[in-house]
Amino acid sequence: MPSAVPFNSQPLVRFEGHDHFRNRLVLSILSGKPVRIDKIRSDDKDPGLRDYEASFLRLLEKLTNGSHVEISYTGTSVLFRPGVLSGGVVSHDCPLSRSIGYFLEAVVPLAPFSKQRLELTLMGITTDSKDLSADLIRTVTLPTLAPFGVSEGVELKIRKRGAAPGGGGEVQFVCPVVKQLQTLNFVEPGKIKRIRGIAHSVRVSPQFSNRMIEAARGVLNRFIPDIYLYSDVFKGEESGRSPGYALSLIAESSTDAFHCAEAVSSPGTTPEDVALEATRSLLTEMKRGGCVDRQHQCLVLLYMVLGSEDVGRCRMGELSPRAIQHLRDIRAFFGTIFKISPAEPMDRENTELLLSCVGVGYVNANRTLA
Amino acid sequence: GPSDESGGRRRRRDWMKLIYQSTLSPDEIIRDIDGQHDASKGVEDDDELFTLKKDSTIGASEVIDQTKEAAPSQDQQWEDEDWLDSFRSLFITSGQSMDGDD
Repeated sequence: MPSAVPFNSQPLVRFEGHDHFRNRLVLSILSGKPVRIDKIRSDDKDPGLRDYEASFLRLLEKLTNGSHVEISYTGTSVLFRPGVLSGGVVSHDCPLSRSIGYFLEAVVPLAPFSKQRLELTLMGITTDSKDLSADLIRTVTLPTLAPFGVSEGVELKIRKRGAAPGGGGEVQFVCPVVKQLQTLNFVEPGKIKRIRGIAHSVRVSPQFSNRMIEAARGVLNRFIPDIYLYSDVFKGEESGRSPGYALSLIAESSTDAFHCAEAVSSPGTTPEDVALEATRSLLTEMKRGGCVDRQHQCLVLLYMVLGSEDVGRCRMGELSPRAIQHLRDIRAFFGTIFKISPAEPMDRENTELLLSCVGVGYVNANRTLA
Repeated sequence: GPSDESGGRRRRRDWMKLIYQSTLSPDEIIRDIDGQHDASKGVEDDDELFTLKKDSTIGASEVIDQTKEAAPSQDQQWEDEDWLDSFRSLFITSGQSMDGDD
């Protein structure tokens, strides 16, 4: 049984390239195995780690006790020896090159295995086009953990919003510790029963939120009556340093499967453009099927591996390229291989998959007994 | 590339073999599967649901470690009522008529 306590004798896991940087470090911490990543943009005219990657390493040092980071002179190689997840009260100023979501996406799977309850304050950009926004992490990522037994007391508060490029937002993520994850058995995707959404705008006309809501309803009303799109307007101090607006949409199924999509304003777009992009992305995502949102496949796969020593099962839409790499990386750290088969073997048009694995029975050995 | 492009019959991909035993990159695995969809369905814009970088653009711009994917194409199929109707079966309301509600 793998232990959360690292041993110096643990074999080194090696990778090349900058992609999947966060997932690999998360796997290193959870498995206790040190990781070495070489050739980080070694052929780039600006080689080595970016500021957000260095910042992510600093955040991991704050969240753990005894982690050891070595970065080569050129920044193209990183050796990370994981420490023990400590949790507690942590604050981190995220660089403006990536949003808060870049950091939170990786912290969320780690947090429940801390020694103490985590209270993390992150400052920076709360919504952008690359990473899951604070809104999606609050409304989709955190509920995705519920079937694993991580739900009570888990919360994300958006205190201030901060659009790109200036940021100025602030969120607080609170996560209690768990001893062990429950085995997932999620194979019935159900049918979409309602759609929820958050239209937010900062430092632009508050009418923009209403315009996004109107345009999204123009498409969605034909499908289902249970639609509630909330207009969230932050003003003054709480609205960050740059103007911006976005629409986050969440579809919930009769079996509590979530699918989400989001579109963010950019120069030259109208609120209607943003709303249509979000709506079309949501419908596209829903059509891929499965019981988990495509952007949360990696998280669910990881938590299936960490589950109790029983067979966890989940139906997913076609795997994203990131999930494919994650499956390979999971094998490198934990040795776990998933069984993957068509979810509907008789229906050749159906691309959904059934994924199952035996959990490693991961136990939070760091946890302080209160 | 897909070996059965000309055949009308679709062959199931062996995901376990592709992921755990091949050296194909994740994008190559997906592209292979998309190509198969094109061949079997004959739907030209099917692959636009998956916005993949073409070979020529790989290396030109940096691959970014990010979760969000590109938005679906701005195709006019989204103005098409039949296309929109194809989503109805995903909702619990499928089978009921939602027309005339507003």
